Amino acid sequence: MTFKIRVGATATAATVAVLLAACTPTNEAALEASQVESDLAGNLQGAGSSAQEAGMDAWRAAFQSNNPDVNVGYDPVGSGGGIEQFLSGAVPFAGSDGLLSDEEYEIAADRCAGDGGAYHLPMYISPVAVIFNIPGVESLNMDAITIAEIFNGDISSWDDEAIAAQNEGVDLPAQTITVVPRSDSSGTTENFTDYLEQAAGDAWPHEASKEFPATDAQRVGGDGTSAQIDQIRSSEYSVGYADASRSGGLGTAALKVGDEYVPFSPEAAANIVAASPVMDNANGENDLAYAIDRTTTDASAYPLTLVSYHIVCSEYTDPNERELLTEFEKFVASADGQNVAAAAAGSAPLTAELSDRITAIVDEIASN
Amino acid sequence: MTTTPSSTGSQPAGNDYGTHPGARANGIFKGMSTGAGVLILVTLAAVATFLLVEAWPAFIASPEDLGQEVSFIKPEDGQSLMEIIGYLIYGTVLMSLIALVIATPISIGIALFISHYAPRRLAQTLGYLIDLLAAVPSVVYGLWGVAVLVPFLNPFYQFLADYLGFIPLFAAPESGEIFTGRVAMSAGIVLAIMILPIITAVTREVFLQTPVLHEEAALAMGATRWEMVKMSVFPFARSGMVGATMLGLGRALGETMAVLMIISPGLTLSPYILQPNQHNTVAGYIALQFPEANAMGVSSLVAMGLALFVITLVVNMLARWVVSRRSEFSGAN
Amino acid sequence: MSKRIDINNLNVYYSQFLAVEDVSLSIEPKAVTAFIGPSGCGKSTFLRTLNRMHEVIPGGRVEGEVLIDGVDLYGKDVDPVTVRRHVGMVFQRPNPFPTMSIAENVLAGYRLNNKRVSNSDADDLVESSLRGANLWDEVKDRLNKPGSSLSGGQQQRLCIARAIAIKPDILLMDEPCSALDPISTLAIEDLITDLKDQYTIVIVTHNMQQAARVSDTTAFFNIAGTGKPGKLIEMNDTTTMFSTPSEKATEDYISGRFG
Repeated sequence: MTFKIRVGATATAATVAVLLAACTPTNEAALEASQVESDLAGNLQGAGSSAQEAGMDAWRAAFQSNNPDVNVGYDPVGSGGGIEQFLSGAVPFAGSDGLLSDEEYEIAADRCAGDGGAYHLPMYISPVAVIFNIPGVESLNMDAITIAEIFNGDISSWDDEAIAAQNEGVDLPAQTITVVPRSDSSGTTENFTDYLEQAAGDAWPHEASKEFPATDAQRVGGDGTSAQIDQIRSSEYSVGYADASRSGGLGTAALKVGDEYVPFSPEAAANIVAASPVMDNANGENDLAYAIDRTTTDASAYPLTLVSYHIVCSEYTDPNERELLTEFEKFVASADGQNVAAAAAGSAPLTAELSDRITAIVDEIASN
Repeated sequence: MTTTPSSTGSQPAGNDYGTHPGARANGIFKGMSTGAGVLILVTLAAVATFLLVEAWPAFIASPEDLGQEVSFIKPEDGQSLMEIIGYLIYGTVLMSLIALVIATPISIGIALFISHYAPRRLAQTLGYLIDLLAAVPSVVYGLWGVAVLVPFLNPFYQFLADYLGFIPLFAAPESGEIFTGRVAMSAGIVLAIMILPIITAVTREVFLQTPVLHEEAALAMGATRWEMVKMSVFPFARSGMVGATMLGLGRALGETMAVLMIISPGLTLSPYILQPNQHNTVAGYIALQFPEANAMGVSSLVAMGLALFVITLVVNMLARWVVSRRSEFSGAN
Repeated sequence: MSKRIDINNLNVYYSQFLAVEDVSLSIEPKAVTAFIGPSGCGKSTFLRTLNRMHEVIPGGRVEGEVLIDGVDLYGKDVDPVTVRRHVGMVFQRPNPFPTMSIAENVLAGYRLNNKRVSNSDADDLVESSLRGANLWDEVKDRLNKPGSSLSGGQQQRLCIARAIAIKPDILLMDEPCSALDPISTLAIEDLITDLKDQYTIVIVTHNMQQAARVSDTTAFFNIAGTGKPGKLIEMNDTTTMFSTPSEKATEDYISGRFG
């Protein structure tokens, strides 16, 4: 009848702590394969970037309807969390807006079967638009320096000479500019600030970061894309940046590339990836870790583009896992896969070349 | 008083004073309630342990390493982990204080109205309505705050800034124009609405417990109702009001969603509650950074959570202590 | 200073419930009038109508007249708050304000009428009121101590001091000794005898010996049964009431046969 309360309490405390630590929402019910209609069956789980979540939802739905006995799960914990889970072996692939560090490459080499390490596959390409709310103005031309000066607070009125010079014939109001950045950590902000850091030179005295810096601009932050867009819509003469698919109804900027002004478009977004070099520290030629060239002068490319990758191993020991993963990734990279994501999430389909290249890489993984 | 030998014979111990039939149920209940008590302690210990264990890597890492690994920690910009915690605790306490300053007098007014002024029927209805406020999810407050309250308050802020702007608290942004109401003041106001029910409910209960003797003492010497309240109700309820306020503060400190949706956050120690990008709360900051945080980032965020945990614990203990002192100098003699 | 009270055909109600029915009597100034009767007979309720304290309880109201020196207490222009500043009251259990000092308790009522009181005036008032309540010698060295630090009997005298500090016309006492020991009771009774030189005093008591000791006139209230209203049975000179009551019920009650 005597409870050993002390011992029990300590043990329970430890257990609860472990449970709390381990309690991330990763498990979806594993479906038992009851009928065999396609060859594929089983459960594939990924985790990572929330930027590509909408695309991932479309891919999962389409892939599962093609393969009724497959269940694909994706936990949008964020790029960092996805890489973490991938490196610890919890998931066979991660979604990430950022690239692996040298250190992470090494851990990936240990985590993956064989000696090949991990690859980046650019699956989700999405242009980021500079959006503004000026009644009667639908489009403005801007170079990176002007954008940097606006967001840094050096240009505070819409009728500033720097803007007017690039937009002859546009009636610019003498109104204070309100800058609306994201107030949460986001890959969109990182892309935007990376663009400014690379393309605007000294006009942007901040580093690329997931957090928008505390600039001198008249500023109101929004938590998440929706809140940010709402803020821009509700306050006239404000300006922000967001995934281009969310820019409907707002004015957008055409960015100066070389000597021309390029508005965002799926093609131009896909082209910047094709036009960019692969990182120096990439893991061999199959690792498509792009260093997006924000300073390109190729007027067919839109440099303010977010690329979200699937990070996968070059080899998998479990044949079922390998087959599920490679079939899924081939679908994602295919024209069909890219089109369902474009329809659902407004992303830019990969160029045919890049699509073929990824398919080839995945085929290689499948044969390892 | 007539015990027959046969009745004692049925007792196993052979006496009248052995185990009684309720002993088992009593034992079980004792075990259950002890278990419940232990469980809550274990849970608290588990949470504290979790926070400590998870936050540990961030605490022992050098500020430079942390800055390298965690995107939102920038020691070179004056935003090391400890500095951020400082900013956030300041912001959290600031907004909670705004909430308290607004909510406490209103709550006491409502509670007093319900306990001493309103007709019985109205008092009951009002009591239910106030309790209903407590049941509204904070997301709803946040949405309402952004969509309705913030635009509505803007002109008032402009007025405040125009006429009281010389007080740093109400200073306008550089342009002199209140271009957004998404500031600490708005968050404080919404928090005030959210903590109103708990402060009202507790003070109402305390007010109702004022001994009739003391109220009559005041009334009988010709006190008006308000004078009676000042003479007998407030002195009696003082500690209860303090306790209620502390409970409200506890709630305000931990609120996330409403603040997050309303405020345009920043990290400073500035007093400017009518300017955006100045303040944020611990809970709000964690919610902003968590989705994109890596392992070390999560550790750092948990460290901030630990700081909030400690503050909330202190506030609640303080509230408990103040409330418990009530029994010592209560007027119920 | 002290005033005469005339009550004509007074009915007291709590909402629809008739608590006291058709009371008519007169209370002489500078005298002690005692109300006696069994529990629930309405004597306390009736006492409260003399300073409109019955209105504190929701639904409390009266029909009839209460005239203080000819002025109707329930007239149109009469504010119950003002009434209570002229008709003081002492309760069954001592109720000094627990968070106030002895001196502040005495001054509490006075401060309601006079926002600014000079220190010397206040000191004088405290002393005279406490002397008037036979308490000065016992507390003069600890005027800043809380009122609740006194004994029960002292607290009750403090309450009397508080009541007389506002110099009322009439002093109502609702069983002022029922919570006190015999020695404290004696002290209060002595005080009542002293106070009647200045005030009209009305006292409700359970204790018939007390009524006999302190009062000049005694009124006996009774009740026919539970749920029935209380009524005034008989009122007369105290000596007459206790020696040769004219009503059978009074005699039964006084001689301890019921109640």
